[in-house]
Amino acid sequence: MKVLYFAKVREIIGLPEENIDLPPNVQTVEDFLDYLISKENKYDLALSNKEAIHIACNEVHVDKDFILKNTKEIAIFPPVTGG
Amino acid sequence: MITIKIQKEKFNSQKILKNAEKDKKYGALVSFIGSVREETNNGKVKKLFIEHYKNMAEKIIYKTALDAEKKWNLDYCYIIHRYGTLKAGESIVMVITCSKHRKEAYAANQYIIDWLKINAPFWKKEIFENESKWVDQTL
Repeated sequence: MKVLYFAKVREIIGLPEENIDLPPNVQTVEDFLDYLISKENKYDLALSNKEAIHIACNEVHVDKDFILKNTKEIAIFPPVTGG
Repeated sequence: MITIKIQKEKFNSQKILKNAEKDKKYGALVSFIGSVREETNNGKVKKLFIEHYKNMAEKIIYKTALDAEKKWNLDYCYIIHRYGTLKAGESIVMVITCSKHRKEAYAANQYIIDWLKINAPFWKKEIFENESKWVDQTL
């Protein structure tokens, strides 16, 4: 799965994007965030305040209980501030 | 008619407005421009960096314009949003809505900019003399 990071999340993780194979126990967005947080300190720093993290799957905003089964691209970012 | 532009380059709001005004059948035209403020709560802004998620931003802005067009029966809708590094005072976004009557044009314009602000994937980083800070990002 292609994982994109934006704004402060991108800066803390130090990457704009990467490919990550979903572990078998990861089903929802929430599971995926927990998996990343447990993976390495930089993910913990960027993502542990989950309330402040927003997610888009295949370019559509989704909630944390969204099931990732058919997701090819997931984007992880802070609240948007355009306009 | 809906036109969406997302670009790095500056835009000429007078030229865009003149183009929109060419067709006088509308009756009402409302135009909104959002610019880089020179002073915010965090201090004097030198520049503003805007990051975006290209494909998703295009989709969301187009969908917003389409919803507004249907809801308020718009004849014309033009939305332009910039990304990259902008100087204080430069325009970030422009929204033009045209309809037969002013009520619809005003309502649609406000709907578009309000919806865009909370949904379109753009992120602003204010650059000051000695530091820079993402807007509203407490992680």
